[in-house]
Order: sequence, then C-alpha cells, then structure tokens
Amino acid sequence: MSQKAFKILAYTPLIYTLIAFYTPLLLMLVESVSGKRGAAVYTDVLTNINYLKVVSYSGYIALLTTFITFLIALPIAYYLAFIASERLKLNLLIAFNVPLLVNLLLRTYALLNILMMLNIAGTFQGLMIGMIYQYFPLMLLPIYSSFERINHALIEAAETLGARPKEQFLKVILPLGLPGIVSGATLVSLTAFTDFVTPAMLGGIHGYTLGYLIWDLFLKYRNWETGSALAFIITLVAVAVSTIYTKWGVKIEA
Amino acid sequence: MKKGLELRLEGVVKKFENVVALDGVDLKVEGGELFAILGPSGCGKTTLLRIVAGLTAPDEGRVYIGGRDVTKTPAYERPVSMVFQNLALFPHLSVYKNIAFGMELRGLDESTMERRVSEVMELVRLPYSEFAHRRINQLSGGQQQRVAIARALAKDPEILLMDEPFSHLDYKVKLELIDELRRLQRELRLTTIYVTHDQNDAMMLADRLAVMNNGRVLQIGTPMEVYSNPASPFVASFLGEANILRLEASEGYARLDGLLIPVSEEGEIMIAIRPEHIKIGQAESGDQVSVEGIVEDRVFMGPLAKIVVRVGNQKLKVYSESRIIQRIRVGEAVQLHWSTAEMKVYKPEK
Amino acid sequence: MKLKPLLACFTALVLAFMYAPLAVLIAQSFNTSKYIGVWKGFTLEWYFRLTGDYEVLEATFNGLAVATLSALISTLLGGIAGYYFSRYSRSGVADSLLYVPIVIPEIVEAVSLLMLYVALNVELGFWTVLIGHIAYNISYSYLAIKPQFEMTPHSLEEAAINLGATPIEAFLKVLLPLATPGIISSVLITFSMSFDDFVKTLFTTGPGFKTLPLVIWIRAARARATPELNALASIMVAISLLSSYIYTRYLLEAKKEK
Repeated sequence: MSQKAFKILAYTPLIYTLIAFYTPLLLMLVESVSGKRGAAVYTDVLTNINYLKVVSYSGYIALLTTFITFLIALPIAYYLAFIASERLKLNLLIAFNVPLLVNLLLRTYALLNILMMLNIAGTFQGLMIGMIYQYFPLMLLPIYSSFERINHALIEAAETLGARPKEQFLKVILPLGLPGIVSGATLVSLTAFTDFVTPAMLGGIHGYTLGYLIWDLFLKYRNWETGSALAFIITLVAVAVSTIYTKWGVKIEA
Repeated sequence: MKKGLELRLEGVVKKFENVVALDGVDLKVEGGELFAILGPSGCGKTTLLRIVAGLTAPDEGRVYIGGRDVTKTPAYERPVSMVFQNLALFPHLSVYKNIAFGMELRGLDESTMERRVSEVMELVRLPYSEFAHRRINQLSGGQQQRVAIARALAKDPEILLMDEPFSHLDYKVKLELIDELRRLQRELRLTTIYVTHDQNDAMMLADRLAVMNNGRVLQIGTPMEVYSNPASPFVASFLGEANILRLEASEGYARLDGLLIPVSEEGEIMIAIRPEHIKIGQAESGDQVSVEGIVEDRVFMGPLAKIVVRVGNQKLKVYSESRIIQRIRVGEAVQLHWSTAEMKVYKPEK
Repeated sequence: MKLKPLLACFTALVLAFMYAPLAVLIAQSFNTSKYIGVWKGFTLEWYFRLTGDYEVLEATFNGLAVATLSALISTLLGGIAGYYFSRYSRSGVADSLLYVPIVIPEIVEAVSLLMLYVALNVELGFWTVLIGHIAYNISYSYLAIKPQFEMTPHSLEEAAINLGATPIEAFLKVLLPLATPGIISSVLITFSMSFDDFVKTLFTTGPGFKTLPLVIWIRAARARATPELNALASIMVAISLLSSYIYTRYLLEAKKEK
C-alpha cells in the first residue's frame, strides 16, 4: 500500500469524527440561535429561574453522589490496595466490576425492582441509593489504581520515622493517592450531572434533572432552540472542567 | 560523647510460606559500632534488618535494643532509623519536608526543626540554602542518597540501619559516600548496621561483620579476622577470592592431578588458597607446595593482574603485580608455589 | 490489627449491596408471582415466555448487529489511526480532537446527531444509529490502542527488519501481536458500549428499529410487571459473570506464562 493511501486511511477516523461529531455540535449551535430570539436565547436560558433550579438540583445530586461514593470507596480502595492478599484483590476487583457489565438499563431496572420492593421508589432517598449504586464502581477504580501504584517503601519509611498507621495514611497515602481521587471525583460528578436514565427511571418527581429537561425540551416541547442552547452551555462546562482537570492532573504527576 | 545503643538478637526465626528466611540467628552489635551483614541475595540479611526495624515480626526469637526487649514494639516506636535500598524519599515533599518529616510528626516547633534540619544537612555535606527547598526529582543520585541519610539522622536514632544503600550509584560516587559514611559514623558514634552483598563495601566500612547464607550466620569477626581465617569454604570465597580444591587425603598427603599437598587430615577434604598467596616461580624453601601448569587466561585489573593456570583438571587463579604478569604469555608453562601455612583445610560441608 | 476485620466487613457489606438488586432479580425470574416480594413458587415459565417474545428477541438481535459492526469498524479505524499517530506523526491535534467525544455528555451527543440527520433529511433507523455509535467508539478505540503501540519500542520493528522482514511483515508479525491486549480491550469496550447504549440510540433511531435498552425502557416506563424482563436480566447477568470469569482466567494464564 502506498504511503499516501495509508496516510488517508489513518486520517479517516479524524475526518469521520469531524463529520459525525463536530459538525452536529456546530449544527446544534446554529440551531440554538436560529429562533425568533436569536442569540438572546442564551441569556433567556441563563436567567430562566426554572431552568436554573433544575440545573442546580442536578448539580446538587451530582455533588452528593460524588461525596457519598467517595466516602464508601476510600476505605474499600485502601483495603484492596494495602490489606487484601493478591488473589483476594483480583477476585474482589472482578466482583466489583461485574455489575458494570450488565446492561445499564437492566441494571437500573433491577434497582427499580428492589426499590419498589422496599417502597422507596420515586423518593429522594431511593434516587440517591440508585445513583450511589450506579456510580460507586466509577469512583472505586481510579482511587484504587492510584493507591496500588504507591511504592510501599514510602509507607515503611514513614513508619520508621515514627508515623503511626493513621499518620501514614494522612501524610503519605492520601497525598500520593490524590490524583486518583480527583480523577474519580471528576468522572463521577460530570457524568452524574447530565445523567438521564437513572434519575428518570428511579426518581419519580425527584428525578427531574438536567438530562430530563433537555429531553423534554426536544421531545416533549419541541423547543429545539432552547434545548440546543442549554445543551451547548453544558458542553462548554464539561469541556472546561475536563481541560482544567487534565492540566492540573499533569501538574500533580510531575 | 554519647554512644549509640547495643543491639542483640536471640534465636530469631522467620519463615515465609515454605521458605525459611532466618534459621535461628544470634547476633550482638556493640554500641557505637559499624557492623556489616554480608551475604548473597536471598540469604536473609534484608529480612533481618526489617526485623530490627520492626517492619516485620519474627516467628520466634527476641530483639533487644539497649537491653530492652523490643520484639513486640511497633516500628514507629523504636529508636531506629532506616535508609532503604531505593531510598524511599517522599516525591511529593521538598528536601526540607522530607528531612523534617519525623520531627513534624512529633509536633516540634518551626525554629527547632529548622535548626536540626540544617545541622543534619551539614553533616551530610548538603548546603542548606541551596538544597532545602528543592524537589526530590531535581537531585542527582548521590544527592538523593545524602538526603535519605539526613532524614534518617534527623530523628536522632540510637541505631541506624542501611539496606544496600549505595548499590545503584556510580562507582566513584559510591566510594565518596562510603568514605563520608565512615567519617560520619566515627563522629557520631552511632550504632550502624550496614547490609550488603558487596564484600568490598563491607571490608571498607565495617568494624565487625557477619557473613550470612541461607538464613544462618556463618561467621562473625573483624574484616581482617574473617578474611584471614574464614570459617568455611563459602566464607573464604565470599569475602575475597579463593581457589577451592576438593581432594582425597591419606597418609599425610592430599592428592589431585599431580598435586601432592602435605596435610594432617584424612579422607575427603577441601582446601582454600587465596590467589594472592600463590607465588609464581620455583619453590623457595621446604614448607611449600609446588606445581606446574599452563596459563589459560590473563586479566589486567589495574595495580594487580590475574592469570588462570590449568593444573591437571583444576584451574587456579593467581594474583600478582601487573608488571610480573605482563611478561607471561597465554599458553606458556609456569611454576607456582605456596606455603602450607597460607592454606586453609576444611572438612566438606554436609 | 482491629482495623483489618472492620474493613473486610465493610467491603463485604458493600459487595452484598452491589449484588442485592441482581440477586433479587434473578430470584424473581423464577417466581411464579408477578409481583415482587411475594414468593409463590418456582417456575421456568418466564424463560419460556421469553423465547417467544418476538420484540425482545428482535431488539437483542438488532443490538448485537449494531454492536458487532460498531466494534469492528471503530477498532479498525481507531487502531489504524492509533498506529499512524504513534509512529509517523505528532499526535497532539489528533489526541485533542478524539478526546472530546468522551467528555461530552451523552445527551448532547444524542441531540446533536439528531440535528445532523434532520438537516440531511435522512430516514432514521439502523444506519443512523450505527453511524452515531461509531463516531463515539472511534475515540475509545484510539485511546485504547495508541498507548499500546507507543509502549512497543521502535527497536523491535527495527530488529525485525534487520533480520530480513519487510515493513509490512514487521508490522504483522511483531507489532500487531504485541498490540493484541489493546485491540481486545478496544473490541470489548466498544462492543459493550454500543450494545448498552440508550440515549444516543433513542434519539437517532426510527420507527421499527429498536434495541434492547429501548425495549426495557418502554416496558419499565409503563410500570407493568414484566417478568420476562427478569428472565432476560438473569440471562445477561449469567453471561456477564461467565465472560468476566473467562476473561480473568485468560489474564491469569497470560500472567503465569510471564
């Protein structure tokens, strides 16, 4: 195969992405300003009190989910990385990941079942339990990975310098595991913020989140301009957060 | 001046799964002594060090520091500091914070810590103003090594443990640091235990040393004592070089491939003779063993040189001055002799 | 250490929490009663009903078709790009461009794709769904395979060429086999993401083309008891468990050989 042909083949994915991903985004942007209000649609969205309520509610759920999954994942990551034997470690990791392999919708459906059985489906607690269930593995893995990579000699050095187990954790393990923690937190909060399926299926009236709002704007109210504007704003936020995180993450590693 | 505490190990046994790492070790290190533990990889020396540090608990036996039984005391309560093989410097902390780590845990005030850190940095010849606030990854190997030692000293320990600390350094840097360690240790009179597989390190540094193999201590003594009177063929060949011959002895002589060696033992024996004790040329007086052989190889080693001489089925390593060996060609026949007094005779190990 | 048993207990509890909903579902799939919490007896009825449930079977088939094609195509394209940018060119721009699709919220992608199709006036169905999936999957594939190539030192290919291999042979016999873990990862990830996909599929599909997640959504939204779904879920859980077991054994065997 000639060099030229090969080069074209290699660039195909980029071209494909440009056509099937970036162009749609552009179209979405165009659509958002194509209505009667034009570019003012953005100020409309940003000042609409109802929308803002939904957005902050979604943010609240996302942060709460992040916080609680963090509290649960931290001790388990510590247990896996520092206490469990090699075999147990491997088995437990698989065990925690298997539920992820089950289809998202089936998993949510299973959750719905059990929440209905416990009579908390459609309540805020039920929703939170569901969110924690879905996002816990996403928080566990990055934290565990960064804990696992910590050189054990560092912990032992701290021990010989007089650090008790609690101090070893606070002064060595936690600082060195920070990249993983930030990674997990970013992943969970960003994804939970725009999650549609879980709140919609489990939350009842408490499940009206940002994802659902955009859904409605498009499919129910047919208000494509506003929907696009909102979607575009969310996109910018997501990209900004990711970029900040990657830049900062690179700095921590260095 | 204050001396470091003495260390005593009694009957220490440690097993990992099916492997016996330490098979009943008894050891006493005097206060203020620089004691080396020498042995090949896997002999148990690192395990021993970790037991003294408190990072690993022995299955049997006791550890005494300064006469006090510390076997059950956790590592963070022992007056012991350790310099790790891979240094284990905290990558997320500056040089200052690394060295001050132990002091910060004890809640000392800022000025005391600063004073101690600069004291200790001076001891390891690392200028405070230049290095205190640098990051670890900005330092060279030798500089990092000094920080690791400074950090261990900042705690003001009674016993300093070092696990093959210089093994990854450039040769010249290592020699420099070994000299400095000697100076430091003499000045502070800190009990120091230095674990290594490098016999030269051990011989250069130690007041006394122990040779270990397979979880057992084979011999303890000053480097000179152990070198001149190795307790077994293994020790003879581990500390310094040795030619080991297996022979049958009867009626006052051991025979092997034309070698006739006067010995007082009978039966199967092993003889160790160091390369520097084999002389080239005719035997001078009666009490000598004399052989002839063919030179198979010639190696230049700086001030000394080595030839490998084939005698029958045996190969003997011979050291001599370079200028003498320069005149000998490979393939030549050569006369060798040595004194029976320099020979060590052993019964074979079971 | 008092901490150890406490942590072990906690881990066990959380693990139980993770499997409880699945366990209940599986148990329920054998329950004669349609209603949860009431056990009326053991039955395989729902499994039989499942085999006759045309809608579910068709949806599963559709999902498998899309997922397989999406996995193969995106792995191929992403892999070639990964190879190219790890060896022949600086990858900064490509990396950034291909990174963005992963970061964007799903619903935004779904919605924007819909706009593309509307603007082009295409009929929604199998192809629109597939195209959308591939757009997203290529990024994952690229990110899974490129590091694999980067990790393989150039000296290996050079050694092969030195020994007489043509560049193509060097690629096929040295580089490709070493990149296999990344390729397998890519196929697995893209396949399961495609098969599982809901939001994008929902927005880009047309009447008559449904995948499994869509069917589940529709039925669950009606909140009517759907015991066949329980049977389906149980089968899928069994498949997941089995495949992770096999995959891990494969990993362990590979480790042992090292």
